[in-house]
Amino acid sequence: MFKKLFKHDLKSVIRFIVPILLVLVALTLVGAIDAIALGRVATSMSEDASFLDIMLVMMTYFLLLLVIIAIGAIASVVQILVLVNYYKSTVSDEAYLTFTLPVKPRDILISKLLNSSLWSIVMTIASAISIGIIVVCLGLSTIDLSNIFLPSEPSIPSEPFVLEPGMVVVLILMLLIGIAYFFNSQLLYFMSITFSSTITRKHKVLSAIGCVIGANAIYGILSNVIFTICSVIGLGAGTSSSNPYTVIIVALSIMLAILVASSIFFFLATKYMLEKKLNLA
Amino acid sequence: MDEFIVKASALSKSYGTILALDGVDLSLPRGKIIGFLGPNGSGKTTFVKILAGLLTKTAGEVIIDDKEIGVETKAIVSYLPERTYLNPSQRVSDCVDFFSDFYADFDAERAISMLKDLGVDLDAKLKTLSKGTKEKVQLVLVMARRAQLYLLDEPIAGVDPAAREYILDTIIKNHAQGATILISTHLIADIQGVLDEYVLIYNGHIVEKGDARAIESEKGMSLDAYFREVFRYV
Repeated sequence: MFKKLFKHDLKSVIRFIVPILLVLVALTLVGAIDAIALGRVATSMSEDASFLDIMLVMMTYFLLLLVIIAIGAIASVVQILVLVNYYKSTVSDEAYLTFTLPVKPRDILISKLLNSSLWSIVMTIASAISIGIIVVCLGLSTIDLSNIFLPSEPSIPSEPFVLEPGMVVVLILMLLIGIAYFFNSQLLYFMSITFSSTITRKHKVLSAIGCVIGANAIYGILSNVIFTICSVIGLGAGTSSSNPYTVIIVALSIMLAILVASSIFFFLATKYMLEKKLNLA
Repeated sequence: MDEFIVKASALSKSYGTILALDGVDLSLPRGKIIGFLGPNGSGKTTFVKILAGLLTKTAGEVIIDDKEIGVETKAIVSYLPERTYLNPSQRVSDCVDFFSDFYADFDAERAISMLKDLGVDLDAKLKTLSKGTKEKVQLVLVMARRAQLYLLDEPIAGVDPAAREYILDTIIKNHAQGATILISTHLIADIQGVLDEYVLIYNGHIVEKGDARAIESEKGMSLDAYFREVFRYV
């Protein structure tokens, strides 16, 4: 049953993800072309450039800025749409079908969590790649390609880069925090929306929005307080270590522990509400 | 097998300070078409939603086929709510696939045949259909299940007389043999002819329960007239 739930959830999300991905591709193309144009114009501009030239540079610059902002906003748009999808299928009229299916509420929750986290991660990576392409285009357009094949001046020999064990741990922790963050944020939103449906029968949308904002604020404050307290205790214990990465590793470990612990709490609270407090009035 | 498919005892449900169901004791026999009748706000929908697993009870007990409300009961209960619960961006064929995937007792061929008889385009998106057609699609999906208990909440409210006839005809001809149908409504005149039994509910209490076919001889009036008599001053 879980596979079927996941399949249908995937279908309902893909419906709006595909057009958004197409918009992202279009924005990347516009941004890349604009970046190349900006690089070329800016590098070829002389000191006595005309007002028209300066305006042209300004316009390409602002267009590039707008494109980058739009790409950044796409991940947020996907997040909002994923939440609307969750709201529709668990709180609105469609919830009448969702919760009369012969499946456990836990499976419904996990299916939606995996779907929304998966798409949030995909869209964030896609947005990052898109911005990366634009930056590379801007960089390439400002390089004088004719100089690439000329012999370069001898550079000062640098020490070979060595990946220290501490650095590897830091990178792994950062990757885990990144993944945990996606699941954590989805679960926080799901819990808030589910909670809103158990406390009110009217103004469900407003209530859901209010609960999401409120829960976010409370969680933000609480997690910061816990992080600060744990960091002070943890770093106090770790200052005697000779490893220069100890401070970062302790801080990142605390951050990861908070994310994992709060995610488990959000999951169990949402599951409890869906199982014991469902009130589709 | 127990004679009753549903057994509720001292069942209560409150919304804050409002008591929607107050200690309801009710057993529904197998293989009957039962009218669950009462004025607006009497607790009909609340009772049906508890059976469907959409509301959690405040107190008391309720079992379907000797099981607590949950995954197992949802597999044998076919529920038609008083609103459209299908995703409007889905095609009719997607809805058929959806029901096929989740309900082992769903007869997809029968559903498609009924939809074709209705002239519904299977490739049409639900949002392009009229409200009446959407309700009929939903009814077809619900009645194409070989369920043990059908819960139909206000199935004929807000539809024209021709559609009412179609809906009742579909219910009578398509329900699984030996299944119980609970029809919650306040529109008695249209459904009294198909009922085996009736349950009158008011203010969260079961007022009366009886044989719908014998009411004419027992009370000297139709069920509709009797309903009006009982709830005249409500």
